[in-house]
Parts: sequence; C-alpha cells; structure tokens
Amino acid sequence: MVRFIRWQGMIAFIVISALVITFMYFFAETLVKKAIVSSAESAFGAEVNVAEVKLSYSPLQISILDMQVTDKETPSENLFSFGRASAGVDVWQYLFGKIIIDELEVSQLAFSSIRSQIGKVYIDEKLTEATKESLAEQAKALLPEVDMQLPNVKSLLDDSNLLTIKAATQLQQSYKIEQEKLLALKAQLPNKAKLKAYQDKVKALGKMKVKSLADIEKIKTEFSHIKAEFKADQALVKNAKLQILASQKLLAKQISEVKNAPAKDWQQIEKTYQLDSIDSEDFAHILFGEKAREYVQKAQWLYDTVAPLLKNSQGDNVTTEGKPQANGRFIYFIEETPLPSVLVKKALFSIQLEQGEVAITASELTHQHWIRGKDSLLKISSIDNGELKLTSHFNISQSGDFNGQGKWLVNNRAISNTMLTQSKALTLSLKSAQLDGQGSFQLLNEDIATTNQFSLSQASYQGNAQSTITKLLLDTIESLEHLTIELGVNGKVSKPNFTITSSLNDALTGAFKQQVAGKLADFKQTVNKGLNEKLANALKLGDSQMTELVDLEAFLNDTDKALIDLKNSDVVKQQQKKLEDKAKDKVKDKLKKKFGDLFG
Amino acid sequence: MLTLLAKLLHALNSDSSIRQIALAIALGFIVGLSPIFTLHNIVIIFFVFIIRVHLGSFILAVGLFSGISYLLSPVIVQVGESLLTQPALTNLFTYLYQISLFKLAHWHHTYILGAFVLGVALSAPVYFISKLLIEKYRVHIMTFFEKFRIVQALKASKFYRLYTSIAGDSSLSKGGL
Repeated sequence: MVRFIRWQGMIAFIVISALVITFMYFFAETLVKKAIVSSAESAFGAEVNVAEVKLSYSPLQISILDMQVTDKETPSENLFSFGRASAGVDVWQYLFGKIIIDELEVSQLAFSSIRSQIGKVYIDEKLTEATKESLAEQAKALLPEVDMQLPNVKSLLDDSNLLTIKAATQLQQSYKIEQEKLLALKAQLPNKAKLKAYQDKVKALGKMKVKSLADIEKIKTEFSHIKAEFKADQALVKNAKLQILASQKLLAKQISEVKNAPAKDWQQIEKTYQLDSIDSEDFAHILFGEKAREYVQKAQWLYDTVAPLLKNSQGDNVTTEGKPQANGRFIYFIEETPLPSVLVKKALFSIQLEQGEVAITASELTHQHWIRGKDSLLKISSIDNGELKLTSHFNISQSGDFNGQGKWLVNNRAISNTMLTQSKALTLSLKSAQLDGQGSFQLLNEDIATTNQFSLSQASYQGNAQSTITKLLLDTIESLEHLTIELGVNGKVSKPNFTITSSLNDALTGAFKQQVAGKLADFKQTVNKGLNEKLANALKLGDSQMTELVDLEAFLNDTDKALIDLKNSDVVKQQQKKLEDKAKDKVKDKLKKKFGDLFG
Repeated sequence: MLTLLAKLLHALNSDSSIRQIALAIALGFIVGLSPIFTLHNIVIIFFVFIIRVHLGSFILAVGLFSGISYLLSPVIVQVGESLLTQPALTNLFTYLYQISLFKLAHWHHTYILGAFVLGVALSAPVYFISKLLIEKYRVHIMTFFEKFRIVQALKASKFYRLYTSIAGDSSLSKGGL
C-alpha cells in the first residue's frame, strides 16, 4: 500500500493550495472589481467605473467604492452613481450556491449626475426615444395655438360650404325640376275651354230631338265616344296628382333640412374655429400630463429592467420550470429552513437628490417570496425638504404573479424651477411652490392602478404665451393661489391611461366665461342672425313654391270632379225617357179620340 | 507546455507504468469535465498528488478534456438536468440536499452534477482505452517511427535535448501502480 503513495505529493498539494489561496487573497479585490465592471457594462450597455473594491473576510463583507454607471442615452451623465455600497454576505450559504446578504448599505446614491468625462456606450438602444418624443409632442400638440381672433362674419356667411346655403340651393333646384315635370303634365291636362267644350257636347246631346230608337242609339254612340275622351283625361289628372304628391313630399323634406341647417352650421363653425373647445379644453391634462408621463416612463423603465430578472428564476424545489441552459443552473430541494436563492434581508440606500437627501430602507428583498412567506417591504422617507413618505410591500408568487401596493404622502415640500410645458404657444414653468399630496398605487403583474392628489400652494409661475387663449391660461394659472390636481394612471404599465383633473379647469372655465363668453355670444348672435336670414329667404321661396303646388292640386281636383260629373251624365237616359213620354202621349191621344167618338 | 509535452512523450516512450499513465488520463478526464474549483475536483487533485500517477499526463488530460467539455456542455447540462429533475430521484436528492457536503460540492447544480456523473461513468472506459492505446503505441508506433531518418534527425535537435534532459528521473513521475 505504501508503495502507491508519494508523500512528497502531499507537500506539493499543500504548497500549491497555499499559493492559490495567497493569490486569491491578494488579487481577489482586483478580480471582483473586474467581474463587477464587466457584468455591469454588459447589463447597462455603457461604461462603468469602480474606484475600488474592498473585501473583509470575517465576516465576509464586500464594499464597492465610487461606482459610476454611464447613461447610454446621455453619455455625459451617469445613469446612477454611488459613493459606497457594502454588503455582508453569508459565506456558508454562498458556498451552497445562494446569495444571502444580511445587510446592504448604499450611500450617496445619485441619478443623472454629470460625469467628469463622457462615458463609452456599447449598445445602441433606439426603442424608447421615439415613444418618449411622441408622447411629449402629443401633449404639447393639444395646446390650442388658435388665437381668439374670431372669424369675419360676412365671409363666414358667404361661405358656400354652409349647410343653410347648400340646402336652400338644393330646394330651389328641386322645385325647378318638379315644376318642369308638373308643367309638362299640365300641358297635357284638359283646360277650362276643353271642359266647356265637353259640357257643350253633352248638352247638345241632351237637346237633340229624338223621334225614334235609332236617334237614341245615335246619342248613345256619341256619348260613349265622349266618355272615352273623359277617361283619357282622367288618367292624366291622376298622374298629375301622383306627381304633385311626390313633389310635395320631396319639397317638404328639403324645407325641413333647410330649417335644421343653421343649427348644424353653427356647430360646424364652432368646431372649425375651436369655439366649442375654448371653455371645455382639458388644460390640466395639457400642462401636467407631460410631467406625469415623464415620471410614469421612468417607473416603466424601472419595471422593464427589473421584471425580466424577477421572472428569471421562480423555483426552489424540483418542480422548477425553465429550459436547461449551457451553463446549467441550481436546482433547490425542500429543506427544513429554506432560503431563497437571492435574499437581501435588510437594505439601506441614501439618495442625493436636488430636493435633498432621501433615505430608502428595504427588507426581505428577493424574487422568491413564497419560500419564507414574507413580502418585501420598502420605505422611502425624506425630511430635508418638508416630509416625504412612501411605504410599499410587494411579493411574487410561485406562479410568477407580481403583486405590489403602497401609498405615499408629501407634506409641505418646496418645489422650485420645474418646467411644466414648453411649446410654440406656451412656455410655462413653476418657479416655486409648496406641495402637499397623497396617493396610493397597486400593481398586479402588468396592470397598474394609481390615484394621486396633489395640492400646490403659494405657487409662482413663469411663462410666455403667444395666443389669446394661452395668455388667458397663463394669467389664470398665475392668479391661482391654490391649485389641486388629481392624477390617475390605470391600465397596462406599457400603455397606461392618464386621467388628470384639476381645479385649474374650473378656474379657466370661469375666466373664459368672463373674458371670452361675451365676445363669443355676440359673434354667435351675429352669425345665427345671418344664417336665419338665409333660412327665411329659403323658406319664403319654399312656401311660395308649396302654395303653387297647392293651387295646382286644387285645379286638378276641380278638373277631376268636372270630368266625373260629365262621365256620370244621364243624357242618354233623359233622351230615352223623352222618347217614351212621347210614345205614351201619342197612345193617349189616340185613345182619347176613339173613346170621344164612342161616348161624345 | 513544451516541457509538459516532452514529459508526456517521455512517459509514453519510457518504461513508466502504462497503468500510471492511463489512470492519470482517466482522472484528468473527470477533472477536465467540471469547472476546476469544485469540491470533487479538489479531492481528486489531492489524490493525484499523493498516489503515484503520472502528473504530466494528468495535467495534459485536464487541459484537453476542459476544451472538450466546452463542446460537450449542452450534453453535460442535459444529464444533470434530467437527473436532478427526475421525479423518481426526488426523494434521494431531497435527502442528500440536507447534507451540507452535497450542497458544498454543488451537486445540485445541473452542470456540475452532469459533469461529475459523466466523468465517473466514462472514466473506466477512458482508462482502458488509454491503456490499450499506450500499449499499441509502445509496441508498434514507437518502433515504426524510430526507423525513419527524420526521427533520427530530430533526435539531434534542441527539442530532443530538452526531452533527454527531462528524461532523467522526476521524483513526481517515478514509480507505478
């Protein structure tokens, strides 16, 4: 057995192990620094600078000093930087493949600080630029650039596109067409002379001397000829009546259109010259929406960055989902005191902002909350400038559902030099104000629901307005001592809906009513008067045309009646009766003569 | 590297034990498949130092199989994944997981378990194949090549001088099983 063992090898092993440990001890900080810089540059796509990394071994604690991460969109600034970050790592758990940090402390954390030299950018990301620009531009585009220079009434009324004019012209044209149709029919109708001739003919038949049945037959034949003419004329009268009905219906419809046209014209004028939106425009949305969108976009960026990391690993037992990777992964099994694969038990961040220092404390930061059954807690507070408080708790379920909620409060916070909007029509910034506010939020996977109330007092604004509307807006906002804004953000995080209501809208409505409404009312009155005149003319024309139709209808009725009377004439019967009477008289005379001779 | 290669050639050509060299290659195969600083590798390296195996062959085998493991990594991960997620083995692994040594060895990592299992399972065939190849080399190839003039010319070169200088007994490569 001994011959198989070389004891010198033991010494060599110890020497080599000692060398490795010594190397690790002396170069660990450099190696860790390189690893941090390399992985951060890969994650953020831009230059990362770390001044120093310090390691202490009992207990294991890593400290990163002066770390700066270049903002790839503006390389002259840092995305974030901090003076010192130190984390106490549980070595035993680290050797088991878990990162358990008992306490993480980050101090002098700052966002968008200026870099001493422009950082290198490794990845070009084009995606957010276009959307950001379009959202801001969309908000600005809502500002009415139209001035309160009202349009000229005369040119407005002469506009051939007015519905009143169009409808009147249409009515005239229709009447002309209908009139031509009726005239053509009227020319074919029997006139009074013709009717008189018919009556004369019938009378003549009635006065004819009837001596025999042959005479009666002759009258019958002539009367049936005349009746045929009556029938043809009656058919013409019937057609003319139908045409009149159709014409009346068409003209009545067009007259009704003419009557409604001025109201529609006014609506169109209001819309074209934005007169309808003057007192109902959502100015709060225009002014504060852009700022709100900026904050939501920042939150969205944070969500987009963090969400994939949270979704990455969701299992702590064999049921873990996920495709095997070439690098492999840890599979965790059930244990008596389970721990997530990454856990920061306690964290403290101190952020340096323009408005003062903000402290963030967090506990139980992990992406596997179900293992210990505890939510992550986050508290943000600042007392440098008024009072700022935010408390939030969130968790991720084993199935990957994110559920977070929280509330915030701001008290007596001073705000200065905040640009609200900058466009061609209006530039407005908040020079100084006292801000109070409170709100709550809830995030369930990708669905966000927040309600926020802000109250600005002692506000002082600075701005420049170009049009009457924006000047009025500026004057109104400057005159407000107290302004409240309610902001709601709902829907998908990637495409949120904003609802903004403010006391500014009410104030503006009042101001508009005072300063604009009078001028607008005069204008409305003049325009409506002009439109009504056009309507009256059109209706006058329409009425005379309708009267003509009514007259024509009366004439047709008379003609029709006369023709019916003539058609129903009993001239043949009368002549037959006359013949019968004559025959009876003859018989009577003969009988008288015979009986006179007999009894005479 | 050149020295290591010379050592290997010397080992192949000398009367060093064939089993010594083959065992070194088999152990180098296990170590080469896994990341170097894993618990089982440190244990194997310790044994390589204290038992009489050919160190030069071991170091070269580790280098060679580390390169091959890079190409084999999808297969290695697949083996580890299928073992660790096998429902029939859940109880076994849950039991082992309670042992700190198991977690310390990172055998609950798909790559490391896959590499270790593949390494151990294939080390026996690698040992026997290596043994066979070395035997064949010594009997046929070495004598065949020595006949060539070019070999004789090479023997007069600087490399050969280096080779012969190493050919003197090395305390670590001496001996056999």
